[in-house]
Amino acid sequence: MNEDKKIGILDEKTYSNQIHLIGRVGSALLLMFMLGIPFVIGTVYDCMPKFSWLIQPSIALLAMMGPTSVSEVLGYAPVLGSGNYIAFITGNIMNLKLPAAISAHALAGVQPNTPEGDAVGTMAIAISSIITVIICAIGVLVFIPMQPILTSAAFKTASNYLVHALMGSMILNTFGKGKGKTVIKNKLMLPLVAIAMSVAGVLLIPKFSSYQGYAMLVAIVITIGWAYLLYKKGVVKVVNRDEK
Amino acid sequence: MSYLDIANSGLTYTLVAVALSVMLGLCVVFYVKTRKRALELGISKEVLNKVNRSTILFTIVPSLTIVVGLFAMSAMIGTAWSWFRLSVVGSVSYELMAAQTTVASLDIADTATADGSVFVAVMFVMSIGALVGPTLSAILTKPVTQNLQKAGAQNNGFSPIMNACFMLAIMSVIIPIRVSTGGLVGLMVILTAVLLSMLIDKIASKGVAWLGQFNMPICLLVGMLSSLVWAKLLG
Repeated sequence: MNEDKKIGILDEKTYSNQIHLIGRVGSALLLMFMLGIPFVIGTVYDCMPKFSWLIQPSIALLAMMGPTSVSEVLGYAPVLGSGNYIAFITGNIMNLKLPAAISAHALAGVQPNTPEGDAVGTMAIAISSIITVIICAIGVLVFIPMQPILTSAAFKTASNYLVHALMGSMILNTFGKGKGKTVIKNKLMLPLVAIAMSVAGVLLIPKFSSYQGYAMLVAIVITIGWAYLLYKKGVVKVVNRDEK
Repeated sequence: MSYLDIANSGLTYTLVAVALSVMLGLCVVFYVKTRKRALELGISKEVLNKVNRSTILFTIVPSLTIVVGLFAMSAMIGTAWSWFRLSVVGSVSYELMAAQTTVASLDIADTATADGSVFVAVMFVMSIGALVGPTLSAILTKPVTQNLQKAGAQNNGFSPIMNACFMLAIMSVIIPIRVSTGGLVGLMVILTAVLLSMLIDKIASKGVAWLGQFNMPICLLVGMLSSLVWAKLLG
């Protein structure tokens, strides 16, 4: 029995090492393309910009994006698992990759931060990325005929509320009981402190949305601490689905 | 060569197409590997196909909005580089800001008349500014996920609760922010999508199980469409 378990753990470790290696190679390839394409074009057309042209705007952007990226990588990793690699390679995390993972977890009845959740969530992120790349390619091909529809006032209004519609459709999956054999009793108690913190942030801190990445990290730590307290007091616990 | 000549050159299109083909290949490798793993872990083919159908359907609409971004960006940096940036890494808001920051720092009034080296500078700066996310993800994802999974796998009653906390915390932060940025219309769109998802869930549990897998795509589409009504009534 112990031997079987040991083999299982080794297998999980082997798979985990492989998927992380693929992710790291993919990230390295992306970085190579991001810097390699401008380098090749600048060299071939003999129009390489002066180094000094790049310094000021690059520092400004790195200063602005860097801290947010750090908190986002750390904040999303527990939910996206190894899908974090493709999510950060293909972008659009908030409006595509995160909902893809959450929806996949709910449909498969698995939890994030478990081997099953990691596999199913990453699979959904991968298929979502494939579809986006294909649709963008089609968009380039049918650029002109699609323009009137996609730039219409109605489409513009609807797309302004895309993230709101997504949030709404994710609420049940996140805060609901889920489809697993067990449920968390009093689950809705868990996010109370994080919600209170976020509402206070929105009301008291100007442009709170620009601190979203940091707020997510703080909220994760606070929620786990609060959950542990509730668990120790017996307020929240894992019970069988049919248990009242 | 001028800014726009290079932006729309055959070489730029070719390099972008090659890069995107490689990235597409990477996604396919991830898909095949994780699907195989999910099957090994005992998740049925039917469940995985259900996940695929739902994900594909709900990806279409947000992807169309990315194509809209392509239109917006192509005027400034050409179609080819916009195509690359929006297919990988970027979001329209960041990309436009990065391009504008570069052009402004070089004191260029009109990119249409600018030199090709300005376009290459824009490409470099957009890339450098976006390096942090993928680089840190490459460095940190493995230790973070492996350690958290180890902690979450401990055989105690708290582990499943801790695993649920991550998503609850993220959503607890995002929802108030989105409500605050979308105004009353945004709030009504969120409520429309929530109520519809609850209704669909109820119907699915009453014997129309197939409807459950389309819950998210339906709510996304109806939620977005409802914004037209709410904007008219409240806007």
